[in-house]
Amino acid sequence: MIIALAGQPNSGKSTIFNQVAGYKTVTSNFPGKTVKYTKSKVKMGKEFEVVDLPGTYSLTSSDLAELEARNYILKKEADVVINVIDASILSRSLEFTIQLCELEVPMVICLNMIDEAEKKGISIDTKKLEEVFGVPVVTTIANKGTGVRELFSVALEWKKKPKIPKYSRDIEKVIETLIPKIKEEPKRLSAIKILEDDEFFTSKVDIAYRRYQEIIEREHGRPCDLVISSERHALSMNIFEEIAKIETPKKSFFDLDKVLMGKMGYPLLAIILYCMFYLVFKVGGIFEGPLLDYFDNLASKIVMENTFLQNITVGIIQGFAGGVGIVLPYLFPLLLGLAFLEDTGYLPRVAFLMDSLFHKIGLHGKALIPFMLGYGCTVPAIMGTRILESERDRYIAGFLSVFVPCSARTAVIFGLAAFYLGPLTAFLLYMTNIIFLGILGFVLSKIYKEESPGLILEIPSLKIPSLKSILLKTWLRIREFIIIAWPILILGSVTLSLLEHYGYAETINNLLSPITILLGLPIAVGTTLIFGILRKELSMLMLMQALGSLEVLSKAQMLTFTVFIMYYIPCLATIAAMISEFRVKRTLLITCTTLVVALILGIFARIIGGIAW
Amino acid sequence: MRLDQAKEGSKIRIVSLRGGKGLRMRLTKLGIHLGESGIVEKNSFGPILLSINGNSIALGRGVAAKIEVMIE
Repeated sequence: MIIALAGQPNSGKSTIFNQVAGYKTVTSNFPGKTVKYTKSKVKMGKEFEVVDLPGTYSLTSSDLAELEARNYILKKEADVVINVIDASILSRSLEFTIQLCELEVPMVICLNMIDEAEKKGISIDTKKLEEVFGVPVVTTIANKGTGVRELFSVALEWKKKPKIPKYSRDIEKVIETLIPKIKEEPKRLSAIKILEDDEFFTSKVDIAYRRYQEIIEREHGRPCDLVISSERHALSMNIFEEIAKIETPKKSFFDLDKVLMGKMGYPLLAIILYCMFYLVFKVGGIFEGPLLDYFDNLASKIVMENTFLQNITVGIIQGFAGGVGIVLPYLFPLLLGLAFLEDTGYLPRVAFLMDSLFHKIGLHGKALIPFMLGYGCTVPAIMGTRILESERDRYIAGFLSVFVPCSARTAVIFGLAAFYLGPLTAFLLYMTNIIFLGILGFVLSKIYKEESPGLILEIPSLKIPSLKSILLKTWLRIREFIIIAWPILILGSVTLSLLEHYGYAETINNLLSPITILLGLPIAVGTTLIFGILRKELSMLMLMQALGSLEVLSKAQMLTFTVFIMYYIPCLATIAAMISEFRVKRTLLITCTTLVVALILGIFARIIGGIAW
Repeated sequence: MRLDQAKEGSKIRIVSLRGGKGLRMRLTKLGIHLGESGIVEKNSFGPILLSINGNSIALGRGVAAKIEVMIE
């Protein structure tokens, strides 16, 4: 038995899902598509599967997520569909419900956030709502877990299709004449979609459908698609008026949103972000040092002789340590913080505040989030681009966040540039990086020109998130790192150990000599650059090993090296994350760009360093 | 008048939606329909915040300029 959750974004669909889902939850793509959905096995009396479809505002074919969600339901893969509705915006949500009814599959309505609706002064007659659609209605408060069990026990037993609400008489007449000409079920859906001029349906039928659209257009004097969407809107408003009463809402004397989204919003945003990053660096820092020491000790105990097996073991340990010691300590608090901000509904407010600034680099406000994450670690930054709606925006934001110096690169900037060249140099490196990001964003938005009509974003009400939902969200993302990025990290580490074992270091140095010579660096630096791809901060440790002492380098060489490390090829974990988010081709493009940028800026640094010192 | 010219706090009714079918669809999906009335919650700098039927929507200035409204 499969139960699917369908509903509009921010309706609390995923919160309901997370309340019943277990740690074995899997995220998968629709076959061959970038649209993702999550599913989980649930045991509640009997065992069944819950599928969380992507949140969509309607079920048109122009939006990929909407198309996939609709096709999933139409294929009858789910035995029953739960329509999750944010009860506090019932009138708009009913437009989606009407469209779901037209798919003619068994359905149950879930009125979620019923407490929010009451706060807004909306009282809903659930019995009447049941009559209108002919399906059971269950009220829930998902973030508190109220009503969720009941919802599923009702859905498990329900097998009937909903009643389909009817449009005005003249439109129903056209639908009726169109239905006999359609072969594919559900016929009414096809008829309505044809009138809406939905290409997915018009291309499938062999009817002179334009004639039918014209009948309606003549009568209403407007494009047919607009007539149908107005009809649906009017219908849902009628249903809403029939089943709900609105009283003047209780005015709360303190409106948090006035503060969060007003002028005070900016300093507050700065404080919230500062606290979050302070926490991440603090928590990460507590674990990183001791964990790395432990693994280094372990590794040094093993290597007594330079045997093949021992080298492999050391490689495995170092790769494992990279995950445990560096990525996880930062990743876990970061993702936890992000999940918290997401579930409270604060992120759309950040997007609101930052919109104007980000428009200048061809993105909108939401892109700030992955950028900020990038200062911790690029992997969650890449994963964080998912909060952006359009694929183009995700790609550009991901492209840019690769260039944000992560904590590992920060270690090099501080350990080398700040220590030997002075804190001012480090500060200037960060500043030029921000300017570079602005320029790159501007260039990318010119290359990937897409009609971006601007921000149209729902600002959902602020919520107190449920702990279980946050933890499950964090776990799902951490698990992705463990499954995808970590094995690559370990594999890379083993490979490097083997290179060392067979004494290929010199060959590599010679191979990389064009780069090192161009940058004016000693040839022995070559291997350290390879190590840097594995783990950025490794490059500095290896630099020390390769040269014996850092002071062998001139100041200009130190600057060049730091700049090159800051910009060149992202680490393996990042590459793995990019492949999973953006596919191989785009990953290659980003990686090549970083190399070119690093070379150009490295040469600049060499020249500037030569003049300065 | 255009939505981006409406004063903060004013009650408006939507008269027409300019722009193509794509933009029209994105707006109606979020409940911004012709004839619907709403309140301009914010209009000072950056995007405009419009509240319709208890639902808050942020609209970039470019988008708001394509929505024709009248003051109620």
